[in-house]
Amino acid sequence: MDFSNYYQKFWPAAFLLAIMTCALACSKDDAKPFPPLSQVSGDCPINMSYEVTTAAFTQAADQDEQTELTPAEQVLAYPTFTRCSVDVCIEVNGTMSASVQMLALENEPNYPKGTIGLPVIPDKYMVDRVEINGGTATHYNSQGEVIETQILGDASSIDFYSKIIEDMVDFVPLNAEQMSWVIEGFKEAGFDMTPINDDLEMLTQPFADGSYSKVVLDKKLRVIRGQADYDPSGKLLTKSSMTFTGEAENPIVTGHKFVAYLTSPYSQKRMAMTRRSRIENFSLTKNQ
Amino acid sequence: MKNNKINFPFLRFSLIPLMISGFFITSYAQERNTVWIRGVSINSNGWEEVKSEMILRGYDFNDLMNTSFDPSLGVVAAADQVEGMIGNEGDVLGIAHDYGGIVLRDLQLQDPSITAMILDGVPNQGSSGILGAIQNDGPNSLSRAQKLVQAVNLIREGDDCNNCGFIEAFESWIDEMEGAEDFLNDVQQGSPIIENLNSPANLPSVPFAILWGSVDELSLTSLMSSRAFPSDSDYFTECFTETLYRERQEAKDATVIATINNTQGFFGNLLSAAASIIPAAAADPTQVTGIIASIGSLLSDSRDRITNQIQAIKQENAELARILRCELSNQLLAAEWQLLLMSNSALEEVEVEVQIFGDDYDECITQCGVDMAWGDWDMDLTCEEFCADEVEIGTEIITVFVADPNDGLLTRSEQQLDGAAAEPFHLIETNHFQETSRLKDVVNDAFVDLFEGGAGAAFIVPK
Repeated sequence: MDFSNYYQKFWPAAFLLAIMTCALACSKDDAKPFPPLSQVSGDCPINMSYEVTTAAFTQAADQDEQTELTPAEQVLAYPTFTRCSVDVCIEVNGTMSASVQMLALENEPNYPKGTIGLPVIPDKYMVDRVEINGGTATHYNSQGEVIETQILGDASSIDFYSKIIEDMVDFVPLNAEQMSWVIEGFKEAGFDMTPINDDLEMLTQPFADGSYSKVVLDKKLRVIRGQADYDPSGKLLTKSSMTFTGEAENPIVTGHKFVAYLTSPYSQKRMAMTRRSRIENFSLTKNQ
Repeated sequence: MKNNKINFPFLRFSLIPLMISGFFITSYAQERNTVWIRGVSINSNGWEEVKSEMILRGYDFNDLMNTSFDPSLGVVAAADQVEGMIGNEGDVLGIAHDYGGIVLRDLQLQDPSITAMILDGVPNQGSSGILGAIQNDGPNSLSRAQKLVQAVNLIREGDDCNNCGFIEAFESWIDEMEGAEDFLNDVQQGSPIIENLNSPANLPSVPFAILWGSVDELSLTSLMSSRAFPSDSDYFTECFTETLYRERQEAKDATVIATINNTQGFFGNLLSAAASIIPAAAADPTQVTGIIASIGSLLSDSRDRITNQIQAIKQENAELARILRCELSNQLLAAEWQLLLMSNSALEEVEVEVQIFGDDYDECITQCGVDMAWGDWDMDLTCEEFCADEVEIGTEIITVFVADPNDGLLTRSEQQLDGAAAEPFHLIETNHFQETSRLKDVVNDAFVDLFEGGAGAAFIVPK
């Protein structure tokens, strides 16, 4: 099997919120109307909504080694797709409400029954909709039956959300020269900064255990583009990145990519587990 | 006396038809002799459920198996043991699952009292799955299947994967098969017993029916549930998916935070704070050093927060990676097991069109630059060369492997045997351990059809 051409084209793009929920869900024949949630409304301090299509696959980290994987490792490269609509509301008190609805997938691959390598979850346990309300996440299947109910709302999350709301400040424009001063300020403060190109700067953050992370800052859009995490020996463990359009005042997320690496005990080859998503109709509204 | 003499011919002629008809009535009305031969307990849940269901439905049969046979004797000796239980009984319908079917076929060759056979989920052509489970694969005395489990456990090592014990259940199953190598090797693919039974001279000489199970999409959690909890629902799948969703939900929450922070929070907040100390008017070049120092001081004061923010994302990434590794280990085990089952069966290659989505050229160049900065670029291409072929949305044809339908242990072709009395009964969506389950309507329906004579009189069991 030769997946190299496919994955070379498949390279960058991508987002994660619904990816985890979407990833196991079956695509639907018909898109269902998004269920109205009283908590999800324009009155939220932070209201985020989007539609996300996610591809999940695992392949050799070095694409030239794809054919050196065991046959079973190679078939994990068959991409599986999901699509869903997400609406999130973060309340003033730091609690979150959300609704995730699976949507029909256009051009879904028509894998024959019995295709080896695809994740298998019986229909009864396939998530069709997730509702998060009052600190509880409820997963439903396509028959409207509850698959799983989960108590959320751990204190640290609420604290985190509250802090995000506190962080929401009015946008203050910076020109290129002023931005360069900020980068110099980072250096002045002892941060390890490396330019990638005119728009991107990389901050390397070491940790006490010898591990470190490299964070890419987008000076033009004023967003964090992504983060790569390394172990003390310098081996890349995970990387996540986001793509945007729009202006600094209102950056619009268009994609997300997350990759985690592992060494296969079968072939001993390094493999990349990838989740990459295409985001549409992204909206992040602050109502403060 | 005279009258008696006179009447005798009358009686004689009138009784003969009655006796003849009585004989047939008796032969259909009497219970049918049967032997219900189970598979080895490692691979079969036995016949009690189906027997009970058939009795409940009114079928009248006598099971001559007064005790279970001893599979550790091997197929030939086990067949002798069953023959001893049959004794002098005749017209016996043999019904067997799994290993028991090979015992029954061997028995039929030597015992004319077996007049028909129902072979349900029987490795008639030998089992690649059993071969892979029991045959040492290399110098470390582990079988190929045991190595698969060992490798999956290596992936899971340290990841605290909560799989509800189904990997352990699978490992236990494989180990039990390996421990039964001495007799299971009789039914492995290519065994002398199988070769002998399938030689033209030794094919069944009585009517036989084939029941074969398959599941469209093999789920190891469902397979292990059927083995461990034959009367229950799908415990392992239910528990496993609930755990999966719970963990994913937690990861998802963390990602919401990260996304909003990345987009609108953390960095934007720092920049806005920095902007607040930059003079609105164009700064005098001599003032720049001071401005940078002020920003540096501000960022230095925020050092802990910046570090914590990056560390929090790092921990979220690590947790997500852990979840993906746990999921991958299960997916990989299922794929490896399926391919092992296919060692001697057809593996179809099918072309499938899949959607691809990438970026426009500029975004591709940006992402390429980021990957290079992260030291994660192993292609012998520049970003410009790589991105020249980038397509935002398109399709690609890939080739996938499709397994021969199987029941999780035996493939369709392994369960088949030419010369059956009727078309094989396909036990749709029935895994190996469900082939003797009364909970599967398709199993009950097949037996009813056979007992009613749907595949011929040889299989009739009276009511």
